[in-house]
Amino acid sequence: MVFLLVAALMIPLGLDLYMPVPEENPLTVEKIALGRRLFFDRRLSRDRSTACASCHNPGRAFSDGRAIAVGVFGRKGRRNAPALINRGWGRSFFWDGRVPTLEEQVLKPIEDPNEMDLPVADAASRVGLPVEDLSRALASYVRSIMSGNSPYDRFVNGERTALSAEQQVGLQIFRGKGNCTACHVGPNFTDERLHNTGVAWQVPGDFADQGAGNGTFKTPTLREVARTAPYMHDGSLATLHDVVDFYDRGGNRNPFLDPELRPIGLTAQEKQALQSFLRSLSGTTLK
Amino acid sequence: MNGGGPVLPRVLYENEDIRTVRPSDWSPDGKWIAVQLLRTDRTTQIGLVSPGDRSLCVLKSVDWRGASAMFFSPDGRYLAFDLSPDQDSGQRDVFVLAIDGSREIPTVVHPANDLLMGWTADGKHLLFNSDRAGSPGLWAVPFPNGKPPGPPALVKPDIGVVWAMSTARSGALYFALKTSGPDLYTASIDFDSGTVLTRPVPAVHEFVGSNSQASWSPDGRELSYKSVHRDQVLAIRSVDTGKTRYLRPDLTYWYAGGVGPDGRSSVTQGTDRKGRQGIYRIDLQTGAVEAIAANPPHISYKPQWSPDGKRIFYGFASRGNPHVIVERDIASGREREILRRDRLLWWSTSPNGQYLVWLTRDQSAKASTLAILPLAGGEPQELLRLKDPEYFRTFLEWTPDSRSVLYQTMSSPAGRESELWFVRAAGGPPRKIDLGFADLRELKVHPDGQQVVFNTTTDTKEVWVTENVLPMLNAKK
Repeated sequence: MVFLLVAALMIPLGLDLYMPVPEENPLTVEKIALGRRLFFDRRLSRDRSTACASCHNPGRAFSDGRAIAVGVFGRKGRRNAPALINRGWGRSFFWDGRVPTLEEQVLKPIEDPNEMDLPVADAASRVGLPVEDLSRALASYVRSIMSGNSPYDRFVNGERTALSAEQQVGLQIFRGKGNCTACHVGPNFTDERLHNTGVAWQVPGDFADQGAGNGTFKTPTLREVARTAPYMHDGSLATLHDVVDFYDRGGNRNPFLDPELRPIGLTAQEKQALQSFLRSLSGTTLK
Repeated sequence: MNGGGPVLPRVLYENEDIRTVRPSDWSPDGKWIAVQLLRTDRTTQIGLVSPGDRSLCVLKSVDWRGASAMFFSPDGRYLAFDLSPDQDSGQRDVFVLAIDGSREIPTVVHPANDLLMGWTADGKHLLFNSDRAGSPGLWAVPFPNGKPPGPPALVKPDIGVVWAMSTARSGALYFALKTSGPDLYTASIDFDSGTVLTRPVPAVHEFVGSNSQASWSPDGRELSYKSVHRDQVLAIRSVDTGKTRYLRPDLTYWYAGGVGPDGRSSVTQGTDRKGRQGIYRIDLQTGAVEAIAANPPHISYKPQWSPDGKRIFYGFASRGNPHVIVERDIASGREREILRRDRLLWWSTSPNGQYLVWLTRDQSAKASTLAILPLAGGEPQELLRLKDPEYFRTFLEWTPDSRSVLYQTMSSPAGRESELWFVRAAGGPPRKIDLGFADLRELKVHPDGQQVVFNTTTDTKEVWVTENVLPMLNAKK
């Protein structure tokens, strides 16, 4: 494993050395440690029952295994809790990409009635910090959550035995016939853009969730994807097998379907290889 | 390179997952080489390679187009480059990245096209080429101690179409300047005798120095070609009226390929906005683009239509493997391999779809050959063989009656000067055609069997230097 040192973080193999960090919130070891404590602190929720980690469980690659996140008083949220992997390189946040910075993003679940349901001023007061410091510490910790040095990373950096033969076939499908890299591209396997795959399209002809508009949602990372089931913004696909089937049939047809989606015609063997490749994206998770 | 005799090259970095490595600049202390890596997933990565331990440090991943230039700051702490802000934009802005990965500074962010040219010798300014004032000019932006930049100043207006090369320690700025470009000519030829019936005359009078890759429509009444000036357009000129209409295919790069038998579309090799190289069809009325064979695992090139327009022929090549020519049914996507050859230089199918001709190189015999194969079945035959130091240029074209094959010869493998010849597909002595141009390319024969269109390749660049950039900057203050 090759690590590169930048500021307070060790960057695992496969990720960029440069991580965009706001000038006003430089990464420090102390701030990351504080952010980590806050991330697990249940005082940040109205009934002191729920922490950030309740829905972003490190044991599940910072997702929660549920289709839809559950917040205080058992309230059900609107969407699947996304995996917080390599978000330091993110350009927009939440499934609909509505927030441009992590500093802003980390406060939203605290005040969301279906998540932690506490005014951020109250939350900050409970932990004895100004709101700004709460935000900066949590954002710093989220930036420190990284996954790299996976078999895939080792393979594309020269260790040609790091992927099995089947996974190598899957990689070829991922980049070629499967057209997965139309959206899942780069070190984090996401273009950070919004796409309509038809997941939210419902008969008789409307979106159950408009997302960012017209049923578009941000491309999620595929890092650690084998550990973050169920999938899609609504958690409607239980397994990687289901996801591959979904894309193989070209998503759900609707008036705003992304033009990159069309029936692929994968064989059972190719689907298996693709799933096998996706499992190779689990690596060393730093947190 | 110390004058002590020849130095054997050594590989500093190689990786099967990387298509190309583009070195850009040495760090001032010689410890790093700034590189761009184009990965097979079409991500470009800006990185540093150490000539010492051959390690690679990836600084930043960007879209497949990467930077047009990258330069270390004189103190070696920063690396400057230009990037498009997003995949839908053709414009560029200039960024500066600390080589320890600690920060990035957007240095020139403006709606204009801003291309990095270099640093001033004192490291206090970045130089860039921008069209923000209407024409390309050399601009400078202060970069004091890595803090946010100040407002830019015009150093030298109207510097032309230039490409950054380097900045000397003296502060002299070296760059390549485009001094001329290709132009289209028409002429007419008697392909029975090889006689030139009418001497070449310019075919197009718009955007002179920018036009190439011409094709005739099947009825011969339109001439389509690529014109590259401020952007790249597909021009379609009416032979009858002289009027030209322009299309902008939604591709980042494309080659103006042949017009199909129905005259409604052309087929081209190109690259889409996401960097997917492949074969595309362009609607000649709307400019709409449709992928025919996009994103194959190999580089595909030179698509040609079958006579019925239902199939195409195209070639592909991958590193270390023979070139392959396939026939593809457009509707079904089914492909049939029709030729596989090492050292295949060029090829062309006849307009009637009955023959394939190709050029190959036989290195051991120090010879090049022109061969023909009946596509309905049969054995290939050698039409011509050239012994070194006579070479074929990578060009083959048929007359519309499929009776003759045009080719070009050169006296050096990388030469610009060539001779135009044709030979009967059935065999016989070749005949030379003297159009009076030593360097002509991409010749196409009109459906009438006499007119031809071709372009000159006077696409030349000169190396220029602008000295005393700092005094010019100081004078502006």
